[in-house]
Amino acid sequence: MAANNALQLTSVDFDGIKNDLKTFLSNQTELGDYNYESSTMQILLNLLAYNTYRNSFYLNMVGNEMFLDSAQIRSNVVSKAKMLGYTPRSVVGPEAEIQVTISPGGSPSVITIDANTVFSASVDGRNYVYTNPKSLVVNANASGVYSGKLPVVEGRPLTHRFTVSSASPVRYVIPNDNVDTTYLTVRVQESSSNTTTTTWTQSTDITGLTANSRAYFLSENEDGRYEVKFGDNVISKQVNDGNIVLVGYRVSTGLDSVGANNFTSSTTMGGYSNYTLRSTIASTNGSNRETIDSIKLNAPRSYTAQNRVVTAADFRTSILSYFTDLQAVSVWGGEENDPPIYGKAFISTKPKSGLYISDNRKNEIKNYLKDKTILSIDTEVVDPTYLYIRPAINVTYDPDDTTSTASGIASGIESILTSFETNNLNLFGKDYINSDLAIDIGNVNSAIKSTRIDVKLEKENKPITTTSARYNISFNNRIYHPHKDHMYAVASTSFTYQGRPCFFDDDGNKALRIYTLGAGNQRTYVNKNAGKVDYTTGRITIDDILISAYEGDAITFLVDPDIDDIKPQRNQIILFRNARINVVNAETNNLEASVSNVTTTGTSTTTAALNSQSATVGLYSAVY
Amino acid sequence: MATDKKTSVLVRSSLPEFLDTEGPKFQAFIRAYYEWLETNNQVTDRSKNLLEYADIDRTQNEFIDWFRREILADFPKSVLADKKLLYQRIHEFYKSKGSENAYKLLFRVLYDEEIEFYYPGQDILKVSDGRWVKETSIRLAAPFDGNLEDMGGENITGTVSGATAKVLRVTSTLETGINVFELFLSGIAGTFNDNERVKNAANTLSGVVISSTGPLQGVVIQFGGAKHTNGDRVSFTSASGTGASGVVTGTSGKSISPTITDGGSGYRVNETVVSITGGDGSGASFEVSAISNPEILKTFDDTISDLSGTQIDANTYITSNTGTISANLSIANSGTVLSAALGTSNTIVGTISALNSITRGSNYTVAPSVSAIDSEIFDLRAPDGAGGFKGNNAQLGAELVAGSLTNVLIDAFGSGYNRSDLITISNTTNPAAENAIAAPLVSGIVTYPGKYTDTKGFVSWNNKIQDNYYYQEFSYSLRTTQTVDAYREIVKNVTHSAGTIMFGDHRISSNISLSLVADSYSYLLIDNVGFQANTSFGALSVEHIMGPVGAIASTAAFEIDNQLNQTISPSSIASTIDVAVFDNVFVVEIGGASLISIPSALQIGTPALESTITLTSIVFDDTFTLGEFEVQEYSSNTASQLQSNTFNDGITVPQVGEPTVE
Repeated sequence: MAANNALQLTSVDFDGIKNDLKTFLSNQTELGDYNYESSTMQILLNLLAYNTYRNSFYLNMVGNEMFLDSAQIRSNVVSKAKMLGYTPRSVVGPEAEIQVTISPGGSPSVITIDANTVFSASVDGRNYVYTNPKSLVVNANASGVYSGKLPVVEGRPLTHRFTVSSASPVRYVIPNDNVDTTYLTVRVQESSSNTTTTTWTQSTDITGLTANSRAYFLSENEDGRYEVKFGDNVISKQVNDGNIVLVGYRVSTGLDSVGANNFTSSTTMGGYSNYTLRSTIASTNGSNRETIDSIKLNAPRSYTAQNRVVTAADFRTSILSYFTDLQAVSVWGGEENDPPIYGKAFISTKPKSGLYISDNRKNEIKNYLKDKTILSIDTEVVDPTYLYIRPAINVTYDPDDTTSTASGIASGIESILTSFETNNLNLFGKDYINSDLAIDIGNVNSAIKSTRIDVKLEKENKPITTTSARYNISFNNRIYHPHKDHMYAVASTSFTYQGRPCFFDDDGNKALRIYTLGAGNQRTYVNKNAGKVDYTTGRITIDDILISAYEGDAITFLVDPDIDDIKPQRNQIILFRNARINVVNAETNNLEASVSNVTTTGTSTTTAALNSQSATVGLYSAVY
Repeated sequence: MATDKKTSVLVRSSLPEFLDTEGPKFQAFIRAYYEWLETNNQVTDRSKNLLEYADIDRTQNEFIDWFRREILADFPKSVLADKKLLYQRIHEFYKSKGSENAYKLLFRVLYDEEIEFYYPGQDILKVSDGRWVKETSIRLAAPFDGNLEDMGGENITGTVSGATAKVLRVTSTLETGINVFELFLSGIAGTFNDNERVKNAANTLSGVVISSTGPLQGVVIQFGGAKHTNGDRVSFTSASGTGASGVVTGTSGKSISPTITDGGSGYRVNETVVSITGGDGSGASFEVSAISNPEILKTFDDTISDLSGTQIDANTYITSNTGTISANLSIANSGTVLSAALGTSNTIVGTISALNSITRGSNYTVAPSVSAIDSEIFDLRAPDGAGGFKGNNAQLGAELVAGSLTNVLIDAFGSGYNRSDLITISNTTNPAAENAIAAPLVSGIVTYPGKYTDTKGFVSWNNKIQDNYYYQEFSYSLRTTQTVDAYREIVKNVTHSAGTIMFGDHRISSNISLSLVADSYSYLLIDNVGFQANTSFGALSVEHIMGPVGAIASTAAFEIDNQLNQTISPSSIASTIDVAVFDNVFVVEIGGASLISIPSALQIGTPALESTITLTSIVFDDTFTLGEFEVQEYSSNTASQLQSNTFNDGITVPQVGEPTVE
């Protein structure tokens, strides 16, 4: 429990309690003559003080459970959240897509794959059940092949029945843990003899209900299980005696099976056993049930939003609570965009798995927000952009102070880099604080005597190779440029311009230049005014030029930041890339270990990031 | 709070009875322990009050913040509003998040201040943004049923025409002693008739459509005048109505104007007939308006036909029109020459020097011939010395003149036009143009010319060009005394709509109230010594209320442009209060004189009249930082004493009283 989140009703300092008690007793007229330092009195005082101490402890525990921010027991947190109208998110089964190709041995007009056909997939040696929520009708193509793409979801579908009785009322509690409420269905059958059923819908806003609305309310109960509740013929329609409530749901393992792509099935497909399965989209978008900390964070935000989306915080809360596959959301109004675009709110998301969400998912977010935003405000969902820090880490160590080798120290620093990136970066709004990393590295081994970290910033741009275009590359951090005429603040990897391999640099006076390398690495400039460099804002603007090819996956721009603490803006996420570690013996001054290109999230995800980004490159590349 | 639910009182009954006698000290010891637990903030006290701590109405201050963390996470800890009440009602704020009311509540909660809004987008120039309306009304006069002021919102019907309409609003006027109600209509079906009775659906309200007088809705041109040009502004007057104006929209054909080649001789103004013959137009009529070169023409004015056959010396008595003939015909006068014997008179005649166009006619393309004859003179056959005779020897003509008015558009209908009074149309753009004459079109059913309801869409007006920053559709400005930095983040987190941009107009508002002594000349001086010297003033508005205690004598409100050393012409302020910014000194003056012309006109205050001046606000823009400023009241027994002082720093006039600045 964080210190500022603990509520203290009474003191739990034993000595303090004992002294207070002793003082109080000694001040009583009829007890004032006792020697409170005697062994007998000490025993009594210790006993009573200890009793008081225990009671104080329990009282504080109880007191902390009174408020959302200090409560520690999930049921109490959920209960407080319930009063704020917040329902914690359930576990969500990952989704995948399977290409099913059937060889029926004949020519049926269509083949129907029933809903809830069971598939299995293994991840890390454990099998998971996937089923398709909807049936799929497969037609033969021109070649007579029966093939279709089948969306599947992890989790076993179950149905539970409750009979309504006012004489023996029951709570409609789903008797399973790990229920995925995404696919929750509630149907009400008239009676055991009348099998007519009606489907009821979950209410998220009672203002739209009438006494005849067939709506149900979902909440998490004191046992952490989900409970369905119905109306009272005032707020919404109530269920009647004899009705049978049929609750359909899935039991899911959440994130455990994310990445599954080896689907098999032991059943027939539409009655045919000759078929092949191929994973077209590996399972993604799953999540575990909402944690206590998340509930504490989101419930107040949900309460302030009141199911409306006005402020940037409202956007974040609303999107995160509905789209459970998202790890983080960054929202900024168009007034904060560069350039400003008023009347629009920008949303950037980072999924729990992968780097980008699909265009379909973006549209789903837009559509979800349509009914919640102010009428005149438009929304746009954009991908995150990645700003890479290239750290050059130089440490000196005293071999006399450690049994570790220089390589061992370097290895430890590698681990620190990876964990620092995971824990301190890799999300929207996470600043890179150079000194924090230096402290972490210094703690790797007590033999480390000094740590120096030089950082450079990398940003990539994937140009259009078929036509000339303009580009903006925004570092959003000031570029080191101590004085006028300070050249080469900008560097780049190689690209082809006017048929020759070229590079970018700057003239020290805001002009971006293109040069080729001749003998002895002499720079020959082929374009001395290819764009502008704004050293203050960290923006590089490339004028209308044709770049016909480039080295690697994209052109990498490299700059020195003016200060080593880096702040991401809007949808920027900071990652490490091309990190280098040098370990120097402080006694001999010899370089004893060196690691280059440390494997980090930045290095391992770059290619995927660029491939996804390429679809958005237009006349101006990503500006944000 | 110490609990009232005591456990200590149960100690004695809970312990074995023998302790009453054998262990009273022990009993007391145990009871004291429980009493200690019941003291403030000890375990029993806390546990017994636990439920109260969780109740927002009964909780203690130390737990208030825990409620804030749950439901006001984005609000600062320190607010001026009652926290318990605020926490209970805050959901209502959240439901109106983004609205003006939410902003207003937020500022009341945080600063106990009312704010104002300004939306720059309202003042952006937009294409086709002008609001054009064209109203139709029906004018009703007596006899009335009911009070026609209540006709607003009623559906009305013409009792003869059957036409129907809905009444939007009602105005009443008194026109030449007649009470007239004008009903502005919408959804008109059919055509109302003049002079018919119009009633509401319940038949409780009615009146008769008045058509004898009213706004001038049109004219029928009778004489087009001359020299009018399309686009000229014209006014319409008659014996009864005024206020109508319009614009010339059509002139056609040509009129004629008289010319004088030779004014001849022997003409008189009123007896000369000017004839217009020939030409292809019609309607022209001229008259002699002046003669020159006057001469006396002596004529015999006795009628001599009665003397036929009469002997001159026969003493015949003849009745004469002059009364002199009888005497002249006496024997005694038989030698008198005839010209002396007959009665004579002198007639003044002259040369035609000016002709007036009674009407200029119209549709002339060939000029007519013009002649003038004074028949009486001509009949004398008095030779003119040039072979002709006086009274018929002028050489006149006519020339074609353009601009005969055929159409006008009336864009202001005026009032009180009687349908029987001819209208004179005067050209106000070109005073040299000659008036046209027209018959009025007056009806009780009035279709007013269209008009713009505001200046939206007016180029070169008060509208701004969109700048994609301040002047754009998604910006708003809060006018408050708080600096923007103080509330920007709070507003952004709590109620600011993402996608819009917020600005702050820094309103510096100080309430200054003081009473000036009745028997002295006084002024109030606010010395802005704390203002930043290099800061320009934003829009500065001052509102005053002054007057004797218990009655407000006058009010005034005006603005000073954003400049230091601003001077105001006293004549531009129609108030007994003058305001000036004078060398960094802001002065509010009571009295009617000017501070600008210090010291000569410094007449301040009204002796024997206790006055109160309230400076309700000084508004600057948000770049302005207010420092401390001084308020001083100065009084002198005489105006001259006060006038002898200057407004420079180090002013030494006596200070009277302690003005209050809130």
